[in-house]
Amino acid sequence: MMHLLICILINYLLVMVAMAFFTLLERKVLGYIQIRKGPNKVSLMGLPQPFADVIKLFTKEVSFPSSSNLYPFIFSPMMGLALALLFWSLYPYSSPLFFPMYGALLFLCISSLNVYATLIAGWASNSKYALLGAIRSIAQTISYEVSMALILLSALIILLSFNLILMTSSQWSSISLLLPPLFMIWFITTLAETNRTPFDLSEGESELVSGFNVEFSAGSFALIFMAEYTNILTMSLFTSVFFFGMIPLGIFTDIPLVLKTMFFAFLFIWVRGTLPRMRYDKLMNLAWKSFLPLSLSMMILSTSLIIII
Amino acid sequence: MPGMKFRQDMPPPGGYGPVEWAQKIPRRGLSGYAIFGVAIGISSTAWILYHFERNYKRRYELDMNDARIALEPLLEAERHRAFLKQLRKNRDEENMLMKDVPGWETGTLYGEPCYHNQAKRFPDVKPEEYFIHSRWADMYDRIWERRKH
Repeated sequence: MMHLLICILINYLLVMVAMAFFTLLERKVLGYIQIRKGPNKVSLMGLPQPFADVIKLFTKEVSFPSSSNLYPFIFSPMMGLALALLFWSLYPYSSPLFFPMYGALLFLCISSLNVYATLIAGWASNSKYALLGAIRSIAQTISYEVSMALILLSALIILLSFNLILMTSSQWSSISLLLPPLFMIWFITTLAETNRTPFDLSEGESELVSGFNVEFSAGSFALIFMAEYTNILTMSLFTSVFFFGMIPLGIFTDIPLVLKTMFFAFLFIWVRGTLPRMRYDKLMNLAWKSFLPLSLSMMILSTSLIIII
Repeated sequence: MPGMKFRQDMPPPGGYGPVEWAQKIPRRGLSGYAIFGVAIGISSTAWILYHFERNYKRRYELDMNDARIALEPLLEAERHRAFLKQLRKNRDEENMLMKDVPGWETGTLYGEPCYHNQAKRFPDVKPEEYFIHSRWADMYDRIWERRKH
């Protein structure tokens, strides 16, 4: 029992460190995209910058708005981070701790629970900006979750398994080559799921100050921020697991997975540096009028191809 | 200047051509049809390879299933053996524990059998009762199948 707990704790700790350096990577890459240097002042080349940020945020005074619903207000950031970390117990190592048979289903469950953290955070702040931001964010996430589940379903029809470890260890043909359009809509859907840049309507600075997390400061803001970036890493991990099968390479099996995950995480930053924000009605039209029919028809296509082949 | 006729400045005959307002970008890379062709080519190749992969996996599954069917009686026998071994351990432990109690018969509570039902069979008891003489940590290890008997 202790063994399992310690392994899971180490796993979570490493995810947190990865997330910390991912924020630094984002600031650096955005800097170079905008032809300026990113953070480079803290100690050696600005490398400990994320730790400085974390220390600053957690030593600040935590303030609670007098009109907020206190317990949900405290609870929701923790819930967000806990759910974001829970994904990582599914990480398919080549020598895994346990074998979740239905990992893909657990992934869907946790990703649909993720909405509630935003919902509670926006409602409990008792501020109209926070509430509006939360409503926008929830509407967006739920809309894109429908097509995400359908895309994942058609991927799973081809993969013939719910087991993530089997997918990474014995899947030679990758879905991104079998059905390239499916992979494209999946990637756009993950961008929308994590409320990332072309679709970051939940924090429209010009209209809503900062979206659902206006009232959060110090430690609770840090938790929300960490949850967001952990979710990005998670989504890139699952993109590479579901859509890029790989050939087992003995003791080096884990390395390509990590490299692919890093590539997709980088793609998230790249998109943020390149694309402008989308209009809200266009976002909703994209979800319900393009992605939903497209993912449904992709499901029909993959099913029929499976039967034919 | 004399002898120079007045001439009205007019558009060229047939009028001016259309204004060239579009940016002129040279066409690079493959045409749309070519890109579609390459994509379809790659994915059909992938589907063919997938066909072989799936056949391989089906054969593998069949093989594994046969192996499981062949092993099933052995595993069942081992399970029964482990079960009986634990019962014997329980009996020995109870004998040793209760040796100082006069008139104690092992497996009964003052003469009343508590490990046999009407059909003289061992009933399904709770795991806590089955592992009664183990340490609780060992018991939970066995209940959760983290350790075999």
